[in-house]
Amino acid sequence: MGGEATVLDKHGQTQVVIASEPIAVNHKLALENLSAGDLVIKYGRAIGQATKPIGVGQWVHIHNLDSLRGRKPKN
Amino acid sequence: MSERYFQGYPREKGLAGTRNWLAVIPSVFCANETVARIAQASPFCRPLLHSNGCGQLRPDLDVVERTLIGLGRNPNVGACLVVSLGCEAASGEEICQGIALSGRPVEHLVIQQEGGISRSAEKGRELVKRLAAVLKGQTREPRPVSELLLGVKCGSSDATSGLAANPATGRTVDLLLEDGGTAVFGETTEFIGAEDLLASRAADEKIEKRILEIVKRMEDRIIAMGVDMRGTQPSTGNIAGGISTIEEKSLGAISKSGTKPINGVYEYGERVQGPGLFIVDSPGKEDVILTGLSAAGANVIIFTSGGGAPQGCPLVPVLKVASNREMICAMFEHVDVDVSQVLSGEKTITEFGEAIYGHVVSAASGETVKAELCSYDASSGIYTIGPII
Repeated sequence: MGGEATVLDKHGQTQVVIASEPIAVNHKLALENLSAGDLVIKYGRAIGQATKPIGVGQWVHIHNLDSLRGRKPKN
Repeated sequence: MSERYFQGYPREKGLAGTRNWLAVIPSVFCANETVARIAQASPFCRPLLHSNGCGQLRPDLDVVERTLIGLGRNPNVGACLVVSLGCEAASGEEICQGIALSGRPVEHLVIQQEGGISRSAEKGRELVKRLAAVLKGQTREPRPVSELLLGVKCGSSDATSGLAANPATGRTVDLLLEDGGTAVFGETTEFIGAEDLLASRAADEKIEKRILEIVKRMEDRIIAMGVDMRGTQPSTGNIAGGISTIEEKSLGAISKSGTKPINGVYEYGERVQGPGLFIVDSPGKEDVILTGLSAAGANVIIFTSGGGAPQGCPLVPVLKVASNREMICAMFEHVDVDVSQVLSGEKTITEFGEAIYGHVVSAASGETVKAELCSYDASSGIYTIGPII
């Protein structure tokens, strides 16, 4: 808990984020606050939609992120 | 054009062989046991065992026939023996004729005509002896890298794949294309969510439309099953490795195709006509895409992964490029190139792109890759979509 992560982008910019929960190596943490329904951006592109509010530093994975593709349309 | 060379077997049309196999091809799964027995006769033999050729409808049988022809015409094949049972739906004669158009020596053996496995194996061994004598006379000579057709595929992906192994391989693809070579990739399922990026690289509008069509066709098939794609795509292992959605997996996967224009889209089993960069419409399932890339004419394949993929294929050297250091340590005997230093910042994607290219040229010149060393190269699979009847 409370681990500090230094995030590097392609342009050499850095951002320091405090991880608010344990996050496995190679997994994602949120760089900004997201509301349910917000698009989640990685590689500069939408990789799905937040299914619940996600705070900065929280683990982002299948428990709070949903694909928008390859699935039956929601009723 | 290129001044870079590898040591290959000259063949009739453009692409040189990086291996010199005698392919023993069952026209139907019912000939598998006989093929396996015949193939023991010579170290030149590669048995291409599969599970198709009967109990299928004509559209699938067409795919099976053209795929087996494509395998027989692969540049790494110097001669073929096709083995039929005799009563199957797939046509052994047509497969032989299709392969013979390439000018390769082809022989056909029909088990029901010979009278069983013992007599067929005896006759098969004689044919193999004769064909192997042709191969023994062939030697490697310097060939330009423009005679390479590089297949690329990813598997056992984790979050490191899209950051290191795939973009580094994409750089290798760019370098080979700049040298006048040909590259082919597939895994249409893993275009979902990234297809517009590929479509924007299409060389013309027809190709652009075709890319979007094959992705929609694949996605519609998935949705028609009425289930959630998760658990299959991304797989359990992908999810454990940090990939959450198909969109995320696709965005990481397509970087293995580099940055060059896409010059065409082929149906599964078709032979690619280079030079340039091409797509073969195929699923990501390992045996099926490796067989599809082989039928497309690939003479070297790069298979990227987090680090957990051992699979090769019977005819083509499959070079393993991996990027997850922990997995590489665990699966060391299956990894040819470790690019995990991209993630630690010690080396760049550009540096590894050049290094992987060097490994491709070495493998093409005869250096044994890990999948060959471990004999992890026996599986074949063909992409059929109709009912088994």
